[in-house]
Amino acid sequence: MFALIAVLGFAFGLILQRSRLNTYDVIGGFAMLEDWTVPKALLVAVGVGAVLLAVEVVVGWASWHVKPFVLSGVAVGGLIFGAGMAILGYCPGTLAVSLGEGALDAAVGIVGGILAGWLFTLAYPSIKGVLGPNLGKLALVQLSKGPAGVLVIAVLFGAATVGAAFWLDRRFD
Amino acid sequence: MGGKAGRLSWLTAGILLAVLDVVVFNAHVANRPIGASTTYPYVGAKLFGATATEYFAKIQKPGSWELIFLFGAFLGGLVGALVFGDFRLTALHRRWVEKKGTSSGRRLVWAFVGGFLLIWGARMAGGCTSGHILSGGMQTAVSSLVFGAFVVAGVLGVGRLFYGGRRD
Repeated sequence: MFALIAVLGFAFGLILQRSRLNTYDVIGGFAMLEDWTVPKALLVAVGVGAVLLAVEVVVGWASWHVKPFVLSGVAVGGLIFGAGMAILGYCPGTLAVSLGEGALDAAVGIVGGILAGWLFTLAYPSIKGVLGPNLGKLALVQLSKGPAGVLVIAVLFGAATVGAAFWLDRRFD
Repeated sequence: MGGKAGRLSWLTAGILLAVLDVVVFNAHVANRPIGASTTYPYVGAKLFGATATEYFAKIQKPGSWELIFLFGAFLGGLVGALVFGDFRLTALHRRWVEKKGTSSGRRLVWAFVGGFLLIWGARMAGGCTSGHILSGGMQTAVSSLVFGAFVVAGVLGVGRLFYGGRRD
């Protein structure tokens, strides 16, 4: 189990390292409006993944793991997360990849993150009340009850996000 | 920095990340999405003794999975950097130096602040770039799409305040 998870993580790290998506210059560059690699790659990944995953779920090889829509947690958390991402120039996953590249600021970012995670763990009983309301595990694919409709929604969604990536590429790079 | 050899474009990287996440989702592989940010409260609670808490009980299983996944990601970054000549022990990066100057201490203080905000925000929202935006986005999850919109607002808003106009 350990080996399988580590191999999957290794592939993740290598893809990010080879595309430079893990680096301060690329992620921080987006916060400076100087580099659009992050939104372009994510829009492609989300769009291609939506179609592949819908097929995988429809044929029964995987199931949905949709996160609950906890309104204020997602909104306020998203803003704070974005603020941290702009200043730090890494995300929780790319911190590990950049540490592997020798980035000392990533090492310090990890220390800050572990401290935040520990304090959040302690504070959770008093915080959880203000995170709501929980609007449920909503997803656009739920607009259809049948498998054909799920595939159609996934394809339309995928076309929109991949199209947005190419639009960004033509507009800014 | 290393050369262009073996570099992946944003398009190739996006497709490979999608395929990898779909493999991870498979019921016979991990039967869960890629995720990263639960690692941090998991490690923090283990290190500083907060394992007898409500939150740790909630995140123990995903936390240990994501810690192993990030250990693999660390090795992937290390091997890629060594093989392709990107390995550099430094706190300073080109765009930071352009905007904020050459003080490593200043960079490290801000990295600490940024890392703290990053994980605090991720834990409030229940996910990060990989768990929410990538894995949730491809599920067309409303929570993840809304999270993505607020993250972009936070990145660009704070990016403008923090980097905008400064050239020192």
